[in-house]
Amino acid sequence: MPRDRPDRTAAFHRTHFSELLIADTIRAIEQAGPLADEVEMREAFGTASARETRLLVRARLLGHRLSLDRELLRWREAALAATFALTLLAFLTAYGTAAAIIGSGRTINAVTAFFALLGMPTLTLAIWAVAAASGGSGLFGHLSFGNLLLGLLARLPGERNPHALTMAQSAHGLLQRARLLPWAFGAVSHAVWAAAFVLLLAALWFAFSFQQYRLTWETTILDAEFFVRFVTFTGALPHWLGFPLPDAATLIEPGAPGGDHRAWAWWLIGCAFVYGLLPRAVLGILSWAMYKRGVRRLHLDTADPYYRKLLARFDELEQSRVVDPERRAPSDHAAAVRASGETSAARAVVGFELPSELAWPLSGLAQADLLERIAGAGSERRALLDQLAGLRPRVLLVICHAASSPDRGTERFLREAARQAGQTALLLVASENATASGARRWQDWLAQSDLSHIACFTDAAQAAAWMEAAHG
Amino acid sequence: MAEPILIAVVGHTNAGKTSLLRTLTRHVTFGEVSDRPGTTRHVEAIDLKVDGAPAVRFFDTPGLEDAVTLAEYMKALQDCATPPERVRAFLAGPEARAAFEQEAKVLRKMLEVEAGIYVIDTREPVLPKFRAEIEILTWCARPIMPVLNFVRDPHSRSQEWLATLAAYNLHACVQFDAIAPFVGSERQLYQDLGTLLRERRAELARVVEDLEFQRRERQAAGCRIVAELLVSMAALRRPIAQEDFAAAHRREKFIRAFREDVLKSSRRAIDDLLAVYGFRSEDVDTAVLPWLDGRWEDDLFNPETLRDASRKLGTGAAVGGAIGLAADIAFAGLSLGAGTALGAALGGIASQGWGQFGRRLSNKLRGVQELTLENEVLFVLAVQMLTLLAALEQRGHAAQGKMTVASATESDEALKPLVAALQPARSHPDWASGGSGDARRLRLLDIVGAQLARMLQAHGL
Repeated sequence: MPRDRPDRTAAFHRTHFSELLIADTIRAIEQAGPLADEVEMREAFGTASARETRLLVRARLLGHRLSLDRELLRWREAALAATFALTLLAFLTAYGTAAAIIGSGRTINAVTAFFALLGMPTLTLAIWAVAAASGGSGLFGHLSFGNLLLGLLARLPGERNPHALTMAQSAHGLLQRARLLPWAFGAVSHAVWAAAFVLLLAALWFAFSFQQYRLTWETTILDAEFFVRFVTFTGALPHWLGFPLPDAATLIEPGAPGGDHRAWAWWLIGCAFVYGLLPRAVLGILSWAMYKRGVRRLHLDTADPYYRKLLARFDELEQSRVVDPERRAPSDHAAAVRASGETSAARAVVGFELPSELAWPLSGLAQADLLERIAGAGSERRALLDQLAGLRPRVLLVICHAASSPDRGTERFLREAARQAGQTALLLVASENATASGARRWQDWLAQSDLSHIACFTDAAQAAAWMEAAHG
Repeated sequence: MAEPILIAVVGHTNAGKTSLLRTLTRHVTFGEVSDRPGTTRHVEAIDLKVDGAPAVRFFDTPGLEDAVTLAEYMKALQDCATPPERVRAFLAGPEARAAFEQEAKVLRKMLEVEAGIYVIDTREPVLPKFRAEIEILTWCARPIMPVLNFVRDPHSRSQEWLATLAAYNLHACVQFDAIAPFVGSERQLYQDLGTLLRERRAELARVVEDLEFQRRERQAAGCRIVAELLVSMAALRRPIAQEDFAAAHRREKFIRAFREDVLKSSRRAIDDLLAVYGFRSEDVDTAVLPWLDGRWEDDLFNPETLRDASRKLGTGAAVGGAIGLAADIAFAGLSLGAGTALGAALGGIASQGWGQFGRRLSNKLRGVQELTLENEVLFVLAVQMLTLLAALEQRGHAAQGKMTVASATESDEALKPLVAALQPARSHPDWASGGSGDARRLRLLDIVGAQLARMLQAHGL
């Protein structure tokens, strides 16, 4: 039976940080030019509705196409290997230090051992503190172990993704912008140091348990009082936690028989515990917590022009839907124009829905048998149509306001009025500085509404000439 | 989240209902907008989303076209105890599917929604047909929010309309101009809707909040694009060998290439700005037109414009002056380290860092000249970009017609510190490209971006 080969990307566990990292990497890649993302845009639009989620889904899909998730998986495996190597290194360091302290002889110089144990770790701790205080940028940030690791990851041998370096830079930038760099790198380095101290303490405990040592101090220029003060001072904190402190007699005369070497040894173990392990463990946990908290708060910077552009594109994908479609009503108006034989010789000039400030009657159009203007109320319309029906004018000129929008109410009136007249024309009057587009709108509308037999004028003199001609 | 608030947008034909919705939903392609009456003949729904969830569902309806006849027809209907029953009786009748099909769609929707937005073209005189419209709409017994459109038009009759609306007990209303500046009206619209729909107030407040947030983010993005361009251009520095510089045709070619690079970067920034504001190049907008047809490009290296900028910057007749090339028009806007001299006047030599001296010394030894953009060009570029940014901020998406360019050209006093703030970039040629992740460059971008935002905000944007 053929076994399915496990899909490597299926094993990829997505975290909030990995999502953001891939999004930022895609952003960096697209600085050089946009990726073809029509499919991804649509899919992201369909699967998510929140703005930020859409951006993340789009990036995830593009990242999958560019195998960024595979690369990230590779990084994780490499990081696991690195952790193993580091633990090994920590063990070797611990072993080496322990060997240096315990040495070959049975006499241990307690103060030298103290500095050998705590000197290097304290120095690196101070460097980390400075880097943390400067927010991870600056010289110490560049020199940090984490930064080197990141660069190393991007240059991992093997099947390397062409965008690996970009991704490493993105990771660095992302952490730096969020001021998480010292915490992220700190969590790793503190954990390594803590592991080293655990091993070291175990080695010390083992050595002191099963072998007899004499702890002492040596000096050329200092007096005994200094060592008494040094040991009491450094031992105060471990003593407070329950570690025994050697008595003054043993301290002043470490070589004397009956000296309390057990207390001496416990002082050394206590100091390694309190000044070595404890701060690393506490800071490691703190760094981890700070990193976790920071990552949880991390969001895409949606005010970034790049993301705003994408959001504007997502907005354009937003669909509207027709909920009540158009059903064209059957046209019930058959344009019936009266034959001229049935009409009287009268002329009618009618103003329809004109603005009140317009001078009436219009100059040059005052000579008519019916000269009327209405605002368009139902009763007015009926009265006017009745008048027209009684008069049956040969020519009818309807005057409308060019700037107003033609509508079906106007169409109804025009149709019914034209039915009572021999020939009908429309004159559009404009208030001052009106545009020609208003008149064109009316002309188009006439043509569309099967009213093209109605002539349309924009000039009163032309309309007057038409009336003369039509009247005959 | 709760059900979205249902709102019908109604009004006379051609009053600008679809345009209003385009603006409100930021959806440029929604519906069909045209001068033709009765463009929208169906009811179309579109959601305004707040963080992915629909908060308001708008219904775009056909125009009311024959309200006078309809009102008379409806008044004649028998056995209607209340106005909404009258509307229902009409909808159940035969004419709702025949002569008044379009109006029936509107009224049917009005009965379903929670409120109506009644769009009015205030350029129209208040005629009986409009009174009939208002009457019919009030019969639906839904809260109505009148929106007075085209209030900035010289032919607007807002006062007449306000009096008429008050006569029908419609006292709250929003003034709006679909094709002209729109800042603030939207907020007022939702707030006033909140007074009409008291139980929806919290949701409407959230809508206002989200719109404001989006607006701020858009503005911040716009400012960042402009800041990025200005910083890059201030940092731009090209070396040219002395003998090339001496040969006129080679120098000319070099200068042309230099200018073309500046224009290319600026064009990219303009495209980015348009994309951030969801502007499509098909949209014809006179306020934005100069940046679409490349008219701004002629201005950038125009000696006249630059001389004017020089006067405003208070640098005197220094265009090309520092190297005695003032007469050489072909050289306008570029200088051989003259920017440094002006920079000293503007920003102080210290602000540019000391690294430049080493580089200049090495250039001198190698016989290389360096060309940079003069502050005048940065000034003109800043004015151009700010004007575009302001135009984009102000425009409603519905801008279909012409709009007078309300030039938001900055007062010269505000721009001087901006150009001064750019000076540190001059000593970092590597800052000319966006790829530089230098923290100091990022900080400078923040500073310049914040200055730009302050200028926009000073204009109430």
